Amino acid sequence: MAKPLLELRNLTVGFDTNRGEIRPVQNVSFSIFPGQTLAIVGESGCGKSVTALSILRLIPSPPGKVLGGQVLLEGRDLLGLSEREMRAVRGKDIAMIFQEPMTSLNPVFTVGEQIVEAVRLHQHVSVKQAYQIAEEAMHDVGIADPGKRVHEYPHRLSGGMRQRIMIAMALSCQPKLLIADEPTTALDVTIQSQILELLRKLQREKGMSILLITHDLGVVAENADTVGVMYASRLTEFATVEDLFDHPLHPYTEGLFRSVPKLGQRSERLVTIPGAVPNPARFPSGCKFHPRCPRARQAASGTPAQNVVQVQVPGEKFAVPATCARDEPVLREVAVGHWAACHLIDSFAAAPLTTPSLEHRRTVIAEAI
Amino acid sequence: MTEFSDQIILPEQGQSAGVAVSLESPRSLGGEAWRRIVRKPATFICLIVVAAYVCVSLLTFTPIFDKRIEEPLSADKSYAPPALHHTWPDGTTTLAPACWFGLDFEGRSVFWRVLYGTRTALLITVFASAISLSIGAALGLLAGYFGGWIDDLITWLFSTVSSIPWLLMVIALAWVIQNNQSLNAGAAPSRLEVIFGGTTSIILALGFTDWVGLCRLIRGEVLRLRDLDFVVAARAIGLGHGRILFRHILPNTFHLVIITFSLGAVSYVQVEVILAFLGLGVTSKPSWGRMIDDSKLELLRGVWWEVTAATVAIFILCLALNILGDALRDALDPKLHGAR
Amino acid sequence: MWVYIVRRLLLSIPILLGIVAITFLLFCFIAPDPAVAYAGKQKTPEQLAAIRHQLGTDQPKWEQFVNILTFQFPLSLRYRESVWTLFRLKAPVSLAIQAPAFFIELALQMAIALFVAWKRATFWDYGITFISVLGISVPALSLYLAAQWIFGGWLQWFPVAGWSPGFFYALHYAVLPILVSVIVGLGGGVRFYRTIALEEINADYVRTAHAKGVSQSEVLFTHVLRNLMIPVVTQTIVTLPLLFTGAVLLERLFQIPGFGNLLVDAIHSQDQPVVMFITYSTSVIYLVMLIVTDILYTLVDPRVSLQ
Repeated sequence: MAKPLLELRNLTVGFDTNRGEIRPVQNVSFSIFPGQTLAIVGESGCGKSVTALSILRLIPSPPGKVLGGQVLLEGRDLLGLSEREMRAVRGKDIAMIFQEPMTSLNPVFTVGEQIVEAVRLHQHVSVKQAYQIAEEAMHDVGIADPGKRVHEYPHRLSGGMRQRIMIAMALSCQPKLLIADEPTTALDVTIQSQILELLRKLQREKGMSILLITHDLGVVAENADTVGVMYASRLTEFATVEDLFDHPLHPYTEGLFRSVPKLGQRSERLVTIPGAVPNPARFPSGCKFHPRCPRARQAASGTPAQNVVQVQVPGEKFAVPATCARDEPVLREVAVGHWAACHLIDSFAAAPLTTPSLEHRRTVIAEAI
Repeated sequence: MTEFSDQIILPEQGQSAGVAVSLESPRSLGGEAWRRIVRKPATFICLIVVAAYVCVSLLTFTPIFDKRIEEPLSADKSYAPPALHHTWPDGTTTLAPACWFGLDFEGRSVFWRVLYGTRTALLITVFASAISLSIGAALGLLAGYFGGWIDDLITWLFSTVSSIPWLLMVIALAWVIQNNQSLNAGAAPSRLEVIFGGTTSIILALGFTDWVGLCRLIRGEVLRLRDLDFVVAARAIGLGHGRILFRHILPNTFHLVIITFSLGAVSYVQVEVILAFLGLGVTSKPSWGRMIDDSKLELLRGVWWEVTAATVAIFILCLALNILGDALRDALDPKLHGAR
Repeated sequence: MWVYIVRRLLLSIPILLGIVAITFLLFCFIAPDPAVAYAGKQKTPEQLAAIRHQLGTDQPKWEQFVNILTFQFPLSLRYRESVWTLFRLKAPVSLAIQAPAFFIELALQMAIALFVAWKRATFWDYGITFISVLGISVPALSLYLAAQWIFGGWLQWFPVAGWSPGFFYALHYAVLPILVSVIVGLGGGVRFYRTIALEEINADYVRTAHAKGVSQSEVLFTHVLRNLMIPVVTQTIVTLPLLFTGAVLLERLFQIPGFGNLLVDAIHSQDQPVVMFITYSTSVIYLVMLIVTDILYTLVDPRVSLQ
């Protein structure tokens, strides 16, 4: 049994705001294995970006700070490193690309200068050699005529090319893990698939792991090996991509799948999850999803009155089981290799508390959703 | 305080255990700005301070001040340091506010003269702003809305005016106007002169030179607004230009006017000091700039109270206006709200 | 590149004409008869006519316009010298104070702004910001007076006022004015650069740089500073006119025989040629500086092309 490359254990992050302390990430745990792609899915505001940035300790503090947990890279806790040691990790062992290629590159330096900066930070090479490495990296990501392009300024390149430059920059020092925070959200659909295909190809060639942050289930279906679903600062489900798509166990995940329109499906209205994502300053008590949970509503109808709590949302009032409104469910392994956090799953209370960890590579190409 | 990433910024939502979300009703920008200023103690105090200055300056129009700023209180009609009490000619000694800030080189009460200074500051600020804001707004609106040769002309105009260093232009204009006045002065002062004193030259000079900033801002904003859907829609249903300008576009530029006004007020008050120092804006009535200028030589002899009183009066007002101006800018700048 | 410069110069011609027009309007129309202003109402008509002739105000208006355009100014009424002579004598003195003050101020402002951006949201940030707001709320005149009193009158470190030719003697007199000038100007610039530095430090590319492993100081001095250069260029040009005219107060108080002092003298003695000359020449210099800034801007910001 191989050891995971990256392991998060109970990571909790807090922010000081003028509304008090908020916790955008609470008790998040998962593992990524070498060569594996883990996708973290969730809506805006669920904490997935903050989680990713916390791995590299890029959260500005003040006002943010890590309140607890561990981030183990090959067994070494990154949270305990000094800033200097951390800088040696960034860009070298773990690299990150971001959502907005337009603004993520410094407009006053050429792309070559920026890649070379990354290279020379972590490798002892001359400037000339660094430029060669940069050009090779640009070639690897599919940029034509890298010798010329390397002296261009970012504003002269298209969005897709800029993202390729970002990838080239990230990969220039052969990282073990690439964190990709919504890498394609800001790009055209056709460019999206090109970039994702590029990432898959590079992963195969270099054997690196990818932590893919996204809100797009289609992207997950085509790229992920394992998937974690986040809602309101917590992981609510974790499974292989096949398992997740075939048997989603958490009502939020079910809701997400239901809301994706299917080709050939005829319906009058698109299905949505009623309500909206809660404000981190005022999370609901108990299970954070309970005000919007159809499963809880249904469960309450067959339950005696004393085990039930009334919930008020604008426009209606309904009942949910008391445990849903009072106890926050923790992520448990409710089936082999499948974790979920929901009281209303069969034998949930007895399921083991293990760290989500699956050494799995995708075997199925999921159907077009 | 920092919203770190897009994910953290969320709309205002009311929630308690079990209660789901509701979006608050949208508020007007102005109302929101007002609320923000009134809520925070720092800016609220600044607002009160400015209001206090305005009240005092309004009081100067009443007869209370007329005598008090002129009558000499010291025996030898010259300087006296601040004191709590004063011995009157008839022998009684009372607590005299008139002496709290000392007496100036003619034995007059610095206290009352400093208070009177608010009037000069108010007159200059209000009227110079009225002129400069009107010109700036009008030209900016016309240039931005109509474009074409009107825009070219107005752009040429403000480029030219802004090519002359501002203070230099103010000085030159004030000098020229003042010369004009003194050479054409009649025997008896007109009603206007009684109210304004010698500040007309300053007011006119400031008013006709300081409009460029606002003009540029408004022109830029109007250019942006002109192509927005609601304006296009207004034109499509046949609204005339004037109507569109006044009812639709102008209200959307108000925040710029307010911000410019508050920042302009600060610089006007400070420029008055410089102009007074140069001998422009001469007036027989007290103004802060004149007070500092009058007593500057005496400073080295240890007469500190007149300069200090006037400086502190200016300082407090400008500080309050600066803080308010910053707060206004933060509150009214649509860029800083939500959408990123 | 040269095409751009030539085009820019050509575009400035209407503005130059506009400046001439304003100068003309100011001094040949709005201003009352300068002869009377200078001589007073008592002089005989012949004397007034003589003054007018000297001033050139008896020429047709359009000739006066052209005179301004071609930099032909009458002799100074007070000094009976060519305005150019006066310029040659006085301008270097002003520059001797303003130039060092400008550069020191700029360097300090940027350093403080970077520092404040680094220590943002901490005590240092709020403290320095607050002090700079205080600084711009105090009238400059009072600060000058206070500095004179403290350093000249009380501590007696520097002479209160005065000037002397010769480099080393002048230095002695120059220190206090430069020092005070820097202090007075610091507040506004710090606020401005701080805002920009904060914007830059929150930019996405800074996050990318950190993600690559770049250290905080490297980020500040390489990435942020380089981007800061862009507004520096534009802001510099905005503060340049203050070089000329902020000198007015300073030179008067410290009795430095410079350009600003000349202006004040001219105002007091109703010396119209000098006032006119100073207004016009300063504006033209400023206009030239604006053009230079535009060109510099294209060099400094790669996003701006020479179109």
